[in-house]
Amino acid sequence: MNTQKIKISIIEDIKDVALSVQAMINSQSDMVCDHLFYNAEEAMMFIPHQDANIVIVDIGLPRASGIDAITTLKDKCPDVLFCMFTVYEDDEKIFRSLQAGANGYILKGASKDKILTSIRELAGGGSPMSPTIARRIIETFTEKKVQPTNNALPLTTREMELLQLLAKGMLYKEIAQFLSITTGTVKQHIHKIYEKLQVTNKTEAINKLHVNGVPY
Amino acid sequence: MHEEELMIISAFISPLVLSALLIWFFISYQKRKNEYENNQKDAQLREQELIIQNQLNLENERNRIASEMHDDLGSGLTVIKYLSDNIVSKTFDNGIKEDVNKIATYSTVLVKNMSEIIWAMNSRFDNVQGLISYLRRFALEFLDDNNISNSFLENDINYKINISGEKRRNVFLVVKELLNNSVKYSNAKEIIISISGQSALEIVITEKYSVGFDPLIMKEKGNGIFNIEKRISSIDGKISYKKEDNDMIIKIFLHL
Repeated sequence: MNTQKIKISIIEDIKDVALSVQAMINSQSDMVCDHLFYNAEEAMMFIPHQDANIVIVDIGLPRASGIDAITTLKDKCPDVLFCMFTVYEDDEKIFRSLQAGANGYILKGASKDKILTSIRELAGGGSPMSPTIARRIIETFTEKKVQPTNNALPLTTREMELLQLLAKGMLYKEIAQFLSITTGTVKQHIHKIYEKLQVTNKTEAINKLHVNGVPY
Repeated sequence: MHEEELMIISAFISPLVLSALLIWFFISYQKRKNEYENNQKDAQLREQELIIQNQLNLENERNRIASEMHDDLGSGLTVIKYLSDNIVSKTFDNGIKEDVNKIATYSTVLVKNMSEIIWAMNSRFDNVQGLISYLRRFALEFLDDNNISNSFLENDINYKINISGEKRRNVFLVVKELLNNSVKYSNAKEIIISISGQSALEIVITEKYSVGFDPLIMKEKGNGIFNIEKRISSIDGKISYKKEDNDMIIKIFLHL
């Protein structure tokens, strides 16, 4: 049982908040948090040498931001799941974090139960998404459709359909009913959409380099 | 003979000179008219540019305030919540626990309220789609949390029509207050929210198997109905309440 614990690290500059979340995690039998970082620089240095499954990242950190940390760490630790820790849900910064490689986000104001459930969901392959973020993702992918790239539109019809329903403000259970699938499947789809959001960016970056004649 | 020739010549020339003069007058008049019109158009354009610039400045200012509120106040309030939770976990005194829990709850509610203000200030949501998706998500989560069956229907809506932040916020707060009342007092088994309309929006909240209420009595009791009507009239809308068999039907009408 103990060997299967979810290993979590936290990057959060406010010590009291970091310690509270750590205590909350360590009070559970299926997860453990041994490492806290109070700034992005230390986290970027140490996390690649540790064995965390999930890293909870505050967006606003003193020097380098949480988004900078993810950009660096995602390449070095491709198997680690990164979860943003944020005050508000409809946030431009969450969207940029997802593009940088985050796999989901947790709201700081959420209840203890909700925070713990979100961590378990993330470890099990799900991620939350708000209507605003769904709409931003649709815009991002539709804009890409205009430019001819080697990759066709990376989202499947089902994923696009799901995003459109989310953008309308529909809840997971409503979408599941509407599409005759389970809420678990809805969550899995969202997880894949997040992954693709990062993939398209890398492809785009590589394509840009290629167009400019820079070898890669 | 000489005079005759002169007369003939002048008879021919004077109309020519006259018409030349007329043409010259006409052309210079046209020229001045065009110049005047162009100047007018330039002035109009400058005025429009100024208006657009002012709107942009206002929008930037709105977004700046939103982002500052977002960063500083939001994270500060969150710290209060976590510090309160720490105290609750350390103390055995139930009285202290209760009070400190209230602090945590208030700070969480403040973050939520602020997030609503930020939503209203963000010009990216200034359209019917922005309003409806926010309403939908709030209503469904709120009713789910309170264990009331619910559905949210949308019919024949023009989602692209612009709607100002102030109007959006007022509509949202009205619906929020109405649903709050429904949950607290109606005893309804189910609540259906349906929105329709192209050039005007009609939002209908149906409380199924509701005990219903008399808006006049509710107003005296101060159950928020007074505030609701104040908000509705500030956005030139209308609201009506009707009890039909077992259902209470509340209709909001709003010009777009």
